[in-house]
Amino acid sequence: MTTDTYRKREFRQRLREIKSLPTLPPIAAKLNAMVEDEEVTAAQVGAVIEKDQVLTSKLLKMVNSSFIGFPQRIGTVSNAIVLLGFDVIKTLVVTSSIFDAMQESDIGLWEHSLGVATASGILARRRAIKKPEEISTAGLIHDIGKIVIRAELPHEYRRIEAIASEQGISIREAELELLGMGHAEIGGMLVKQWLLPERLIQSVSFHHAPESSPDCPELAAIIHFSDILIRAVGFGSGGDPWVPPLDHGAWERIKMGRRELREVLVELDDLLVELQDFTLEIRKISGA
Amino acid sequence: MARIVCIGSLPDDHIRAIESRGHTLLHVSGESDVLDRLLGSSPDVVLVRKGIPRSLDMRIVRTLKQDLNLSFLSVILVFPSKGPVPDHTWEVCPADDFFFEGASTDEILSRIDLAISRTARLVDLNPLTHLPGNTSILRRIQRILDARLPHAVVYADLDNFKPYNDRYGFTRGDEVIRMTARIIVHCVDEGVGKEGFTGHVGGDDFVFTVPCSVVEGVCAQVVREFSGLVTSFFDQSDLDAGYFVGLDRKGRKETFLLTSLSLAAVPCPPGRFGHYGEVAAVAAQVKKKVKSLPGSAYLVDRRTSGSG
Repeated sequence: MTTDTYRKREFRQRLREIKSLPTLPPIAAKLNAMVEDEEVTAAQVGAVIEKDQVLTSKLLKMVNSSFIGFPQRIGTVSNAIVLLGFDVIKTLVVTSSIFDAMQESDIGLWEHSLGVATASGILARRRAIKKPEEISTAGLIHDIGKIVIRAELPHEYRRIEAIASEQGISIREAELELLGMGHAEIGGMLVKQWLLPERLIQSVSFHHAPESSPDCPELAAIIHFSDILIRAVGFGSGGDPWVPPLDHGAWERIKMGRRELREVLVELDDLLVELQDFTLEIRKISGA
Repeated sequence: MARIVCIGSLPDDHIRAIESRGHTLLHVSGESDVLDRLLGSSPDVVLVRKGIPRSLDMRIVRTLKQDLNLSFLSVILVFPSKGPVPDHTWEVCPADDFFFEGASTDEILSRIDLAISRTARLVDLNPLTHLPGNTSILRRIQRILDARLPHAVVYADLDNFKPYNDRYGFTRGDEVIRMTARIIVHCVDEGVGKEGFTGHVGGDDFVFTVPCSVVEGVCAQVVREFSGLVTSFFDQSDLDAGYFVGLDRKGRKETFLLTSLSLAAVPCPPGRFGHYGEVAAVAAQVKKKVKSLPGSAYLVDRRTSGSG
């Protein structure tokens, strides 16, 4: 057995043992306050959960777990909420774990993820993809692997950051160097174990290599391009100053002319401004 | 032997006693992701230690008891010290049983045995959805009439469900039923909380009751959520076509529109009806009309006279 496959096996095992992924304290605080408020509706709580990659993945993990017994894989927060009910949602919120010490990079990654969710939603609607909300979800959780590394491999996480800044390479390249695999693959393994829909698994796994996606290269291409778009417009932070290289196959697949790109940017800009109200609020609560 | 999950800590001798009986005891402590880990371990019995910070004990018991698929789980509360159980404990924390820390081994083991057998006995509910059945439904409707509650009774059923079963198989058909149950329960719950009621007559027939003031909104939400989710139960080719091919009663090929949900709502203002049979008669007329509409739909009976 090669070291690489051994490592991957070890990693899978480790992912299985993950007890909890942390979310941002200000988001948890906001949600905790919401569930104590009798007037709040499930939809309002859902709208906030939908803005957090960890809570969203956990909610989907629950609704897709065999114990809940719903075999059609669910990939959107609103569907998950109506199937699980408000009580389960409240308990999820109250028992969610939070970062012990939140860093600027955690907020940056969160904003980046929100941005990618927004951009991929726009592209999915423009390409008339069915269930565009699912693609937004994929955009939101595409970097969940980074949270896994940050929370579960704190030592390696620091090394990756150091390697990236010393060698002037991207976080992803540093991950590959140190771990033998990147956050995309790690995140993909996790959401696969969590029984999320195949479309989400592949979008997460292949967001840096969309043409390798066996069943849904178009979706992976949308996440891939959204990732680049959001890095380029500078909304949030992916942990390094580099914009990931654009995959040519994916670009061909997306078929976007200059005029459409301009339209997308205008549409995106409007939505990002709206989003900023929320991200500023969260930054304010966190004192960042 | 049973899988027992314990939330919060338990004295060592209790742990030894339970494990020596052959049960598997899993500890879930700390506050984070308790529910997630609880579900992940598929327990038969749940022990919850009273007095976990932030009332998490109560919250977990309530969540389990209010969830359709989890309410059958037996929950035993463990009180940290002997003494009178506070008033209203079982209202806010609807557990099935309790013991005090320091209870004898015999008592603890017997209570666990009882909890396991109680789970097996809970057959009063619809086995597929765990919703209350006919007797409870009739009792509920009669109570609305007798207590003169201004509520509406809504009859829900699926259109083209039998051909769906033929086309996709019973297992998948059962899943459609369970999804429908979940949607109705959660929409009713969110719309009106404890004032609402959902029952499962059997097959693809459901009944729910909500106050007249919100019946329109709840029906609209049920239809909306159903329409959003039912598509995941069809193959792409059937979805694209908008219909599927099945066999009619005589075994001939026929096309059927995609399975949809019809809701017939009958408001029961005080004095309109005296007996649930009258409600059912009006519902049958409304149902006929709503069934003639294409796709998932609801109709609220707007006639207010007693004649129906």
